[in-house]
Amino acid sequence: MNLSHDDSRMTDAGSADGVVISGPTVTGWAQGGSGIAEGEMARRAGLRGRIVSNLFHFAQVTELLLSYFGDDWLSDGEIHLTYHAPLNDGENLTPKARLVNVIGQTPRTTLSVWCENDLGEVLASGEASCTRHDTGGVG
Amino acid sequence: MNSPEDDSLEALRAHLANLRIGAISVYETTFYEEAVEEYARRAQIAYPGRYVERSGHKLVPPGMLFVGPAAVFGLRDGPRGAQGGIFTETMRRYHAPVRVGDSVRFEATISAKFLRRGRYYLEVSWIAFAASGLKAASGKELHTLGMVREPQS
Repeated sequence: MNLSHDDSRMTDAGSADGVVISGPTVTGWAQGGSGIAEGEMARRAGLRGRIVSNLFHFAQVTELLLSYFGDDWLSDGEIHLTYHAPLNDGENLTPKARLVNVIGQTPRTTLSVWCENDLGEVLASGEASCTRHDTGGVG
Repeated sequence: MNSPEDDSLEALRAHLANLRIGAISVYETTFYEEAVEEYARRAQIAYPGRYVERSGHKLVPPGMLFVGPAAVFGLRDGPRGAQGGIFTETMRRYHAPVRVGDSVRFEATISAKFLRRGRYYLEVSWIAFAASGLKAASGKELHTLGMVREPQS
């Protein structure tokens, strides 16, 4: 299986250890019926208003990982993500990743992954790994 | 008269008391193209974009393969503050791609429920089986239940 591949939206400075790769910055919008609190209930819950579902963060990180690992991600990808803070309605989110290590005879590559808002605050973070057979669009 | 938050807390406590660790929910979802396109629109990802096999079959974005603990085990009726919640942590493993139009069977199990810093949480482990019977994905989700908090001392 060979997926259509578009790495044009990913910016990177190579896959060397420690170098950060970024996906495109995307504006998040709170969707109706998401169950996320609004108005007075949101304020009492400590929120500043409507928030974007964390599934949005996951989708953006996934796009970055697909760009990096290619179609192997769909059959061998593994991710652990912790959400730290919400993305508020209308705010921007940027997914990022950094190579951590490559281990094993059949290399399983691990990336540190996270999402930032415009202030550079980390909204979600974790690790993702996959067997990577090609260099994709990186390095 | 109770406040809306009090009503929500009462409903949540009662609901959680009835949720059993090890409870299983099994359901099937068909990933029709309309739903996939709607997901892509909301997630702002290009579709079909990279989600096309060489054969031309369109694929389901992996972000659609998960179990929402509140959707499966949470309250669907009652006080609004007792419904919904947010994902706080997720672990997912992908085993095989899923094609648009395929049906996937989800098996979701409550693996933990607890109160932490005033919020109620539900942890759900799940497996998604493709039509072939083979695993397509698996994972574990940690999710708050409701939007209200127990009063903190």
